[in-house]
Amino acid sequence: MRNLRHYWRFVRIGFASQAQYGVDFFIGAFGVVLLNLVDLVLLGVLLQRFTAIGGWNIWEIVFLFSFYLAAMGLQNIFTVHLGQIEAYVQDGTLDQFLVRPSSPLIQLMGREINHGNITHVVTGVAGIVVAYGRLGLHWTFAEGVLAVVLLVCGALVLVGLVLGLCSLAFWTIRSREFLYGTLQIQEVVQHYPVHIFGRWFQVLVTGVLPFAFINYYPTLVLLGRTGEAMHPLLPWLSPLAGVLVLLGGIAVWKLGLSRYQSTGS
Amino acid sequence: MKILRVMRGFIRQGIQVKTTYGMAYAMRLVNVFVKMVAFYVLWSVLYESAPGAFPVSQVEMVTYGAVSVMLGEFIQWWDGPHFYIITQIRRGTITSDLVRPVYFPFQVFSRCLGESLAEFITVVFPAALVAYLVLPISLPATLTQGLYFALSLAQSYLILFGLNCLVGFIGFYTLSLRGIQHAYHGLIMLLSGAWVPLWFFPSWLRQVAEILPFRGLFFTPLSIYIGELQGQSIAGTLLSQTVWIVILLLGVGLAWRVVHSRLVVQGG
Amino acid sequence: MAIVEVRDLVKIFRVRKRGTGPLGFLRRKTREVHAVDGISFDVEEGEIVGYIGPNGAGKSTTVKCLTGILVPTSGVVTVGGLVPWRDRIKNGRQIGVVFGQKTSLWWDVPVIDTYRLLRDIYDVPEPVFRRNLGLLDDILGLKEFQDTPVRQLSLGQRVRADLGAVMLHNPRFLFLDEPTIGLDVAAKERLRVFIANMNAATRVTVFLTTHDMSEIERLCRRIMIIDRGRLVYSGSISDAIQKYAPCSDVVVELAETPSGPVVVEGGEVVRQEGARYWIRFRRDQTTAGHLVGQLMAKYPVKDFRVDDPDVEQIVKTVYGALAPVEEAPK
Repeated sequence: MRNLRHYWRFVRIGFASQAQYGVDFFIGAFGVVLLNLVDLVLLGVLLQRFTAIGGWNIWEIVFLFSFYLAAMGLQNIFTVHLGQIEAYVQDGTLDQFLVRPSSPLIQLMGREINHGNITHVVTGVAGIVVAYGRLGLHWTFAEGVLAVVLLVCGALVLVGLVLGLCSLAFWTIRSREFLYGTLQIQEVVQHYPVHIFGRWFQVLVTGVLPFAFINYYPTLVLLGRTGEAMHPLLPWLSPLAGVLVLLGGIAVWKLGLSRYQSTGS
Repeated sequence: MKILRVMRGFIRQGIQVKTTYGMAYAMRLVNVFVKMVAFYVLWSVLYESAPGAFPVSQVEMVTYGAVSVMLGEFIQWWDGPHFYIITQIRRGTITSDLVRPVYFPFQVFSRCLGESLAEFITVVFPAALVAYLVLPISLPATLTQGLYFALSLAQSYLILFGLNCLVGFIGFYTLSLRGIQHAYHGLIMLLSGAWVPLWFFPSWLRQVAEILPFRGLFFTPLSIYIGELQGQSIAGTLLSQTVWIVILLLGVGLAWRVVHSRLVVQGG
Repeated sequence: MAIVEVRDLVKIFRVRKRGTGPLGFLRRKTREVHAVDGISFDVEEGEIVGYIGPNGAGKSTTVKCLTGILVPTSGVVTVGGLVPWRDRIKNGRQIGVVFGQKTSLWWDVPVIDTYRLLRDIYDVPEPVFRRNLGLLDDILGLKEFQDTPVRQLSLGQRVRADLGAVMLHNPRFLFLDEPTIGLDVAAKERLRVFIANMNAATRVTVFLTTHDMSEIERLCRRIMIIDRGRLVYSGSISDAIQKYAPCSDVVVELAETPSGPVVVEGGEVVRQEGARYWIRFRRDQTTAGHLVGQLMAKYPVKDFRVDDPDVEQIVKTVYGALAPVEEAPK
């Protein structure tokens, strides 16, 4: 509980230290919207000719794509600065974390809040809403709540993955490279329903680097397509996956931190 | 020749930078390979679902995708001259570049070419090797086709350079690329054929793409590579690339003269 | 009763070096660096202890072990009855740490906002916080810049802000790792006054590592000298001077150079420049007065002075007597 209180204090100060208002923000927002639109237009061009990719039509793909975008935006707001872990090691910030009577993880998470990324969230949600309309879906209140829960859990999966991958900075210098290493896989998962890539890939993005739980499995649940998964119960495990991956990421961080404390770098 | 020596220096520097961190290097190779596999699977899936929609064979389509990735990594369209120029301006080190008795755009060009060649040696070539062994992709059908491809590739590089330089010069005035960069990259992604070949575009979009230089970046060289363009039509497309090169390089020269004089007056 | 106890502290780092050549990242050599190699000492409550040594001697490593940042390879450390790396949260409440050149403040935010945040982290009651702030402002002049974001502060202001930040919660222990590096003389003096006052007012135990000799002389009654991970000396400054620099010099200037060598009982000529002679003597064997008396009797003395050694001399002797040091990772 103290931790939560501390986190809130850190968030407030981190919020203040992000000077992202004004023209700069809108230019960034414009960029986000434009590039994602281009992506979707290209997908649209393809689907004009092919009517479906792996059995999914354009609006289902838009749903899938936007879901990822929104989850990623949520995650970025809170954790995009984790790529700085190696910088924190160098400039003594991490040492300060260790010397204060507060959890270093909370201090790390609270260090920066990137509210600029709200654009991704808004764009993603807009995409979901548009797809919802075009697909003629009608959710009950419970289903709406479920959608929000799945979105948040998707973000948690990404938070856990980012935290874990960035914590690798404790073992090698460039944690960002690991994150980039997975970027391609992330793009694939964001754009296409993963079952078109075959069993091995599905296992990879379900069990090893569980990106599929960010958008694919939640979309299966929300579009009523759970039969397409490797196992029909799998999509419903998305919330659990969120928690587990987050805990896994935290574990990697803690391991990395104790390594720092014994090797000093 | 001094130019070759300088180029060799840039290449060597580029190689070192890219391989210093073993892990990072390995990750990049993995990334490029995954990209190629992703395209391979995507096009295979789509091809199997509707073979009639393609004007080419499956192997050719898959090759298009894989070579597109390699081409993209080589020309590095998302990085390059414009960022270099902007960084130099921001850091103030542009003055040392200007003081050298070498034509500035040419300096930028040799630097970027050095980077690209370093990229080719360290990343593109190994990735390509693995790709050819693992994926069902092909080489150009004949030697002549291959030569035309090489020519088209060189022209593509020059077109990109011209475009990036012009964008970079805009940076002189705005001191930041942010807004234009997004729009610019968006245009390239949409109209260059790097991802979706132009033959899929609805006719109105295709017409737009045909009159702009971007298709010369990916679609032209790739079409030649896989043989979708043959004989007479090759000459036509190569010529259109050349026309764009002339326009763009003239533009660069002009823009540079304007910018240079402004710089000299303002003292950076 | 010692409030800080260190017994046989050892910290070994494994350092990896790239091999040479283009594929050097494939070949790496590892070697062990004994940054701290069996150190033991006590610190009493309210002491200001100076910890000096050449670069790479293990000073920062020791401080990091004492503050819970690093876990020692072996040995026992207790600070106020707590084990720093194990009881890190509790220990955090009783210590304040300033690393020279590295700020603990949020960069883009006014100083006072960071202070308020720290107040909450350290659970400082509001009235105590306000009182401390007032006291700190008196000595450090915080009001001058407390509403300015840290990135706009000068180095001197930033160091003052950092010192203020660590004192807000009335720590029992203050660890200062080269806090005055890069500051001008006036700023350094101000900080020395601050530390001395804090120590007098609150009996905070201060552990100070520094290269600055005047800091040591002004603040520390006790110093510890570390070299290559070993404690070479621990004791008072005066004893250190006696041990490492037992000699003083009488510098005489004669009206004219004498025909023969200058000879004086109890002293030895170590240097000569024209008519000026440096005569070295051991303070425990004779006195400057005795020497000067002899000199004036035998030679035409025009001028003289006495050079006593300072801490700088000790350090030079200690550093100089030992071979070059490998740097431990920072």
